[in-house]
Amino acid sequence: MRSWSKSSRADISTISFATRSRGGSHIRASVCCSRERADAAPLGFVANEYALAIWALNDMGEMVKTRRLDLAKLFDEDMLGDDLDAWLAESSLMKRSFGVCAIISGLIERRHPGQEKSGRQMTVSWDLIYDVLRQHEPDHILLRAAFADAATGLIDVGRLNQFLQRICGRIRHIALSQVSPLAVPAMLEIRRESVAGEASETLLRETVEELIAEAFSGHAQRKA
Amino acid sequence: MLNAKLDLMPESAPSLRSHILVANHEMRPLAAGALYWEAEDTLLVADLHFEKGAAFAALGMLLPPYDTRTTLERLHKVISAVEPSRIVALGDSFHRSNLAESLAEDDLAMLTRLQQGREWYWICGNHDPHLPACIGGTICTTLTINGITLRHEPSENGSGREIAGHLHPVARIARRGSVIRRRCFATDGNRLVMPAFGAYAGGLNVLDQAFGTLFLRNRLEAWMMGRADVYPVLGSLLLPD
Repeated sequence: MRSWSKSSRADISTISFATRSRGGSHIRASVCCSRERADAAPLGFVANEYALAIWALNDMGEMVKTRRLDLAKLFDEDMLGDDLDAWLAESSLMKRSFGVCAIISGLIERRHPGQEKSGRQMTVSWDLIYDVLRQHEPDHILLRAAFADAATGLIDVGRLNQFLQRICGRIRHIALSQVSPLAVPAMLEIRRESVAGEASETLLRETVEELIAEAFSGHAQRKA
Repeated sequence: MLNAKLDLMPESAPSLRSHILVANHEMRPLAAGALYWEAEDTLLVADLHFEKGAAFAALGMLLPPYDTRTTLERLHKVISAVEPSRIVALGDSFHRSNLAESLAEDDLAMLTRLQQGREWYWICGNHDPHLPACIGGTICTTLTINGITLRHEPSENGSGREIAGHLHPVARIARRGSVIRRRCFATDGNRLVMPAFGAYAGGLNVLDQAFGTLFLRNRLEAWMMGRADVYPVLGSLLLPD
C-alpha cells in the first residue's frame, strides 16, 4: 500500500495499492464503501488488474500515519455484507448498470450521438427512474439484473472474499515522496469512477465558504 | 452599532443568508426543492409533473408507475416539516390535464389529506392548462401575493418581481476537478425560477439559452440543492453542460 499526497495545496490525496494478484479490479467498489465509512471523503477510484487508486479530500497517507485510518480494518472481510450492498445501491456504478439494463429491456431509448437532445420534457433519465423503482419495487427484475451485473462483472464478490483473506495481516503502508511507477497507469485514468457521497457536499460547502471569504476581503479592500 | 453590524455583513456576501431575497422579500429555500415564504406562511413548489409515468405509458413507454406516489411522499415530508397555512403549486403539477381526473384512488386520498386545513392553489402550466375540480384547491393562472407574482412561465419582459417554474433549472460547477450538477433555485434578486419538484422531472442547465435574458447576469445566483442544505453559488462560477 503506497500513498502519495499532492501537498502544495492539499488538493487531493491518492492512495494506490499494488498487488501481483489479479484481484485488483474486483475490490474497487467495496474499498470505496469502506472509505466512506472511514471518513476520508473519497472522490473517486480507478483500478486495473494489479493496482487500485483512490483519491480523496482528506490526506489518507497522513490518516494512516496518525492511525485515524486503519488499513487492516479497511480491508477486513466484514466489508462484504450490508455495507457493500447499501453502498452499491447508491453508487453511480449501480445506476449505470441499471441504465444499461433499462436500455436492453426497451424501458428507455438509447440516445445516439448527434441526435438532437429532445428537451427536458421528452425524456426521463434513468437515474430518476432508478430512485423511484428502488423505493417502490426493490425486487424488480431490472434491479435484480442490474445488481447481478454489478456483482459479477464489476465486483466479483467471491474473488474479493478470497483476496481479502489472502492479504489479511500482510498489508504494509509506505508513504512515497513521488508517484510509484506501478501506480502510473491507474493514475492516468484518475477521475474515471466518482463516488457520490459526503465529498460532493463538502465541495459545495467549500465553494460557498470561499465566496464568503472573497466577499469579505473585497469589502475590506473597498473600505481601505 | 447598527452601522458596525452592517459593515461586517456586506450585501455582497451571498451565503451569509439562509434566505433568498426576491424583491426584498425573504424566502427560505429547502433542500427538498420547495421554497418557504415565512412572512406569508406560504410554501411554493413547482413542476410536480404528477402522472408523468402514466403519460409515457400511454405513449408506449412503460415507466414504473410510482412517480406520483414518490412525489406526493416527498411533498408530504416538506409540508410536515414547515406546516404552512398556504401552498402554491406553480404549474405543470400534472403532466397532462386529463390525467388529473384519473389519479389513483389512494394518491387522490393522500393529496386531499395534504390539503386539509390549508389554502391550496394550483397555477396552470403549459402541461396542465385545464385542471378539473376533483383535485381540490383553487385553480388560477397567476397569483399575486404582497407584490410578488407567482406564475408558471417566467415573463420575458416586465419588471420581474416574480417567482416562476417551467424551466427546471440545474446548476453545474467544478471544484478540485470534480463536477457537481444539482437542481437549483435560480435568481437575480428580482426574479426567481424554482427547481422542478417531480420525481420524473429532469433538469436544464441554468446557462442554457432557454433562460435567455431572464436574469441580470452579474447578479445571477444558483442556490444548489444538497442533501440537507442549499448552497448559494455565484453565477460567475457556473458551467454550461
